[in-house]
Amino acid sequence: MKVIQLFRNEQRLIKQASAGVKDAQQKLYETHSGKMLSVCRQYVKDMHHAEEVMLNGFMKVFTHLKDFKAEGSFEGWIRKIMVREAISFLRTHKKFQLDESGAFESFEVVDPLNSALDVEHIQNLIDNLPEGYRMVFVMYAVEGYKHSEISKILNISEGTSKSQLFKARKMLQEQLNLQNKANYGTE
Amino acid sequence: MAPNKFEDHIRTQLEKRRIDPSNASWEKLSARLDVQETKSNSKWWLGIAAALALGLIAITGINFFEGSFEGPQVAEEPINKEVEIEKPIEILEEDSKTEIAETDSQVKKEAIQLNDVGIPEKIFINKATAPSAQKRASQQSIAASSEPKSTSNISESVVMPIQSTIIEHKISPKLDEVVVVADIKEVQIQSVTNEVDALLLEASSSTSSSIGIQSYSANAAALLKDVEVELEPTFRNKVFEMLKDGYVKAKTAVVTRNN
Repeated sequence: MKVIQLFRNEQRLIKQASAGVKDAQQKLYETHSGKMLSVCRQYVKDMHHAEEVMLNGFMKVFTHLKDFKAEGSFEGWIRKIMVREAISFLRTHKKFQLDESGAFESFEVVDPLNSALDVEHIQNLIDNLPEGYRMVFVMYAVEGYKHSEISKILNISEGTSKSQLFKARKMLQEQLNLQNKANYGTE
Repeated sequence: MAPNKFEDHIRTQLEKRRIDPSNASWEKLSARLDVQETKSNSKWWLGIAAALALGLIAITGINFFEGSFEGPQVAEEPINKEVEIEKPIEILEEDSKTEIAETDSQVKKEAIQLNDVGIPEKIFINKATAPSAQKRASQQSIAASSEPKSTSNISESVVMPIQSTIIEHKISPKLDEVVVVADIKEVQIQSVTNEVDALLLEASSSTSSSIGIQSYSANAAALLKDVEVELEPTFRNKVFEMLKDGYVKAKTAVVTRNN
């Protein structure tokens, strides 16, 4: 019942925000801004830039609120907008390159020590990846996009997407091994 | 599956994470939303204004072309009116003759008795001319009453053109035409009265010569003049009043149009 109530409340808020009611817009912003800033931070290293990307994303959310059809979740809809906005930011500011060459193998990152890395540590590992690797890795491993979807969004081939993922995983593995070696003296 | 555990762990940890934005972030977003709203409103109003302007231009353009087509039609109307005006005068002449021939009063009977010729009685000029004058006056008033329509048409057609110079160019020739028509009417009236005078003089001379007695005579010319005096101002006033109305209408139309 509580879930239904929350859903109805959110639908009402969305309707009001779509009509331009500022209070409704602020409530929606406060509800989803924490999560969305986290999403933007996965792609953009600098926190200040990540917040700017999030604000741009919310601008698009509120101006295109009428386009939201209540078929999927509202959070999922906002999240997609944030991902696109982050990629757009990286394209215009960083000019990342996606290495289309090289074969790829199926590669999975293995943490030999099986330590539960905290989120900050994870973020540091992801931040150390090059832009292109980071984007594909986050979209595939964290957001759950398929290679076909990633290729359409980034305007690359599926082979490039797979190659980038392979290289990202390889790099993450190397970083983990180095860390473990530094901390514990083992790989 | 062990190989996927690391990525699953990453996904779980990042899904749980919440990062609070800065305190001023909502204010920034709100300000940008306000700017966006004013832009969309101005676009809406610009659209409405553009649609209204186009509608006005279309209406004035259509009326302008209609006015230009009406010009020749208006020019033709005064000619028709002149023709119509002539007709009652002709009819009047016939009526005057017939009425003069008719006998109705005691004086006429006496006149008949006196000369037995079937005189055009001068006495009857009053009675004959009075109704005929009334008839003429009514016919002319009917003709005259139709004139305001032409002047009103002129004023209406004058309203249409957009620029005041064009309106003025259209007003002055029309006014000139009306003035010319009024002059023509005056001339025609004068000619008719002259003919009537001549007929009456002829009749009086014939009667006086035939009977040799001094019959009761009335000065036809004086009587006619009396009638004319009664008529002319009325007719002239009417014409001038019409001209004045038409001019005032056109002038106000130009002024309101320019404002």
